[in-house]
Amino acid sequence: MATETDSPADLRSDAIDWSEVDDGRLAASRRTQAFVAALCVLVALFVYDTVTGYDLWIGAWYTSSRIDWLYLVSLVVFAFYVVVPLARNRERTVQYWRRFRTNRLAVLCLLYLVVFFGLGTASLLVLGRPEINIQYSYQPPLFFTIEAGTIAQNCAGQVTGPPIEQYCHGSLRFPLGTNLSGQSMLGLALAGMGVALVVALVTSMIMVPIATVVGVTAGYSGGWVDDALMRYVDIQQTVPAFLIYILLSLVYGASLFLIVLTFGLLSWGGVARLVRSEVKKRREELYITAAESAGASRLRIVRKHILPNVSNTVVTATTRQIPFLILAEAAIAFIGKIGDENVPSWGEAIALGFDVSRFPKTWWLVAVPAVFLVVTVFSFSVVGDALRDTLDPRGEA
Amino acid sequence: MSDPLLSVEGLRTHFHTDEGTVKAVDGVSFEVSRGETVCLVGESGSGKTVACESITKLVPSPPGEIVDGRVTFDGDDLTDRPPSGLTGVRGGRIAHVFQNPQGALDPVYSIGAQIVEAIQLHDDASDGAARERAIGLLERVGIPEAGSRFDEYPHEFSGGMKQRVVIAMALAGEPDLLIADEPTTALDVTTQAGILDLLNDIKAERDMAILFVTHDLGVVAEIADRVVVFYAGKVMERGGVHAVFETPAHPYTQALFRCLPGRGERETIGGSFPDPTDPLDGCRFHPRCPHAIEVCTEGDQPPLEPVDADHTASCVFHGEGYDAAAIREGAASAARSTAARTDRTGSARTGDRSDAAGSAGRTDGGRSATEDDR
Repeated sequence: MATETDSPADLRSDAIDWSEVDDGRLAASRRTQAFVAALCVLVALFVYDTVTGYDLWIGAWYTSSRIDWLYLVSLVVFAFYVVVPLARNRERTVQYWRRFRTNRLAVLCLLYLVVFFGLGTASLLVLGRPEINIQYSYQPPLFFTIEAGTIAQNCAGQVTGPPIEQYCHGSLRFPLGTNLSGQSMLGLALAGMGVALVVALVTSMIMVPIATVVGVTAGYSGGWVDDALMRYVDIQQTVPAFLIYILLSLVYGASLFLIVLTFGLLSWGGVARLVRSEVKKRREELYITAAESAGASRLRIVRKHILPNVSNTVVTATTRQIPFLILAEAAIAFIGKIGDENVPSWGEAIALGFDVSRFPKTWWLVAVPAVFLVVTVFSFSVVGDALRDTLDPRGEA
Repeated sequence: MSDPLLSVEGLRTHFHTDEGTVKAVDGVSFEVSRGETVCLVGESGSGKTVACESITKLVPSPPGEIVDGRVTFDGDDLTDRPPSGLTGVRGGRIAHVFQNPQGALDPVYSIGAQIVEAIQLHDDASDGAARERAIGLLERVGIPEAGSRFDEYPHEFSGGMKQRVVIAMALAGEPDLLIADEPTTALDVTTQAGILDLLNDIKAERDMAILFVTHDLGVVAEIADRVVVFYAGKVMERGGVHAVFETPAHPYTQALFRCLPGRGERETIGGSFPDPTDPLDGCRFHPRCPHAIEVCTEGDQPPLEPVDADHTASCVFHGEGYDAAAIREGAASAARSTAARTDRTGSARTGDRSDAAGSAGRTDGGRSATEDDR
């Protein structure tokens, strides 16, 4: 901020300015304009895609569901409302980073999440599912072996041992081994990353606006509005999204789109509650009274002074909610019947890996996706906790 | 006083709490004329702040409620307007400065952005023009290198500097009335003096009225033209600063002066502050008043009786049929306490100090006294 103030428009762009509705008159900031433009491009592509039926992507998406579009929308939102503010307000970002990096484990996890984000996007848009090589089924991971001839019919790597008890070694061609149809486990793991990324990003994009609007409305209005909204959240939280998803999947058929929608629409309660309590606290701050005394309207106070001050809570609470969503999706895929069979989820991969006749010997079919799932969930949790320590002003000394 | 800028009549602000209705302000009246500084003085909890916040309806509602009273500002009746109808007045014509500069600035914006916001709330100035004006305001309130500090965040400023920034924000709308609610209480004494000087200068420059809330009589001496003494949600005494300091007419005011840390013997006011949920009959001060008689415990708070020209006190002894001499002795002893202070303050209380230039020239002496007292 301090380094780039020569242009006056930057004056208003500290922290997060959400939209530029200004006492009724609409003055869009450059970022809002760019955001709308990007959304328009997406809509145009979507229309082209549905009307002509041509697929524009280099790599093919797994299903015909709308979720790839939702993912792209989420990506645009993420870029404009998380990345851009961080990049613009460099001083503050550096300050956050200084506090964040004291937690070594969190830095490591964040690094993983960056890789996760990159590889997940690549898998969604370019890589797709790994190809099938029937002749190379059940190849062991690198540095491991399996009996050749019985389980691994052909071997892509070295074969050693006496003629009857030959061992097939793992090869660089399939570093994490392959499954029954000879798909690379590494490829499957990356495809699963794409799915987990969709779940994390799209669900957040659904949750954040709802949770923010509900939390801010309840916290700022108080009175019966607050009571009504919070009682609704109570009710919603007693209804497990998992169950609702199962019911809906019976009606509309299982799909990742339905998973994301159901969990997105039903999991924001906790976030909204946190936002509400934060807003309630912020409301009492003197700078809110000061803004009132300076003649700012309620809408303006909410937008300019409440929202930026609770955005940290939103980010933290949402990040901490993501692991549950990824796990829920994996669980649904694991159960299989209610999961989207076109989606290469880690949960599905784990379920398929439990092949009773071969299981302990072909352990990597389970271990690879399970390790990725655990590492991802763990990373989100650790980063979420570290973000809370970094962003939460109560933690400031 | 024919056409006051602000006139508050019979204001009652109550808070509905679980413990009952707190009658924080219970029927107060005062006026502020153009270019004049009026001090509201009283103990903590006497309703000064609530009275100020009721003027532009900043009192949080619920639990607060302005039950009764009339607020007239520059001929406009503000009483029946909803808070949303006051946004033009707030900041534009009546600006506030709060006690705690720490909290009055939003931590997520640079101070420059906040002043620009305050300017643009009341003016369609372009971003560039608003920035120019904001820098001008920052310079005016004494922020060194205003241009380069424009983009710094509140936490990078000291308390005194923050209060200057808050004052700059208050001036952004070019108000006619500045309500300063204990603006120096959270600051150390030297910083305090600087802020008081600044307010005095700005007032003289802009012909702006100031409604100044404080519990510090030293500050009153330094800045006030007129004084309104609050006690338990009521006005005890009203008058020019001279009259009130030289002949405090209400026993409460006298007691206040007697507990000033001066050279003479210091007395505290015995007894305790009345329960605001259950106000007493009669004069609110009667349980602690050395002169209280039977009639003081009955009825409502006595009306403001004239003491001398432009000086009234809410005490039965100044009413008809009573001998005010009974409490004159108190006035004399209180004045002695004040005099003990004024000895060191120099001519602060005795010189002619009704004009703004005089008050500006007088502040140095007044300041040293304030410091010594700490």
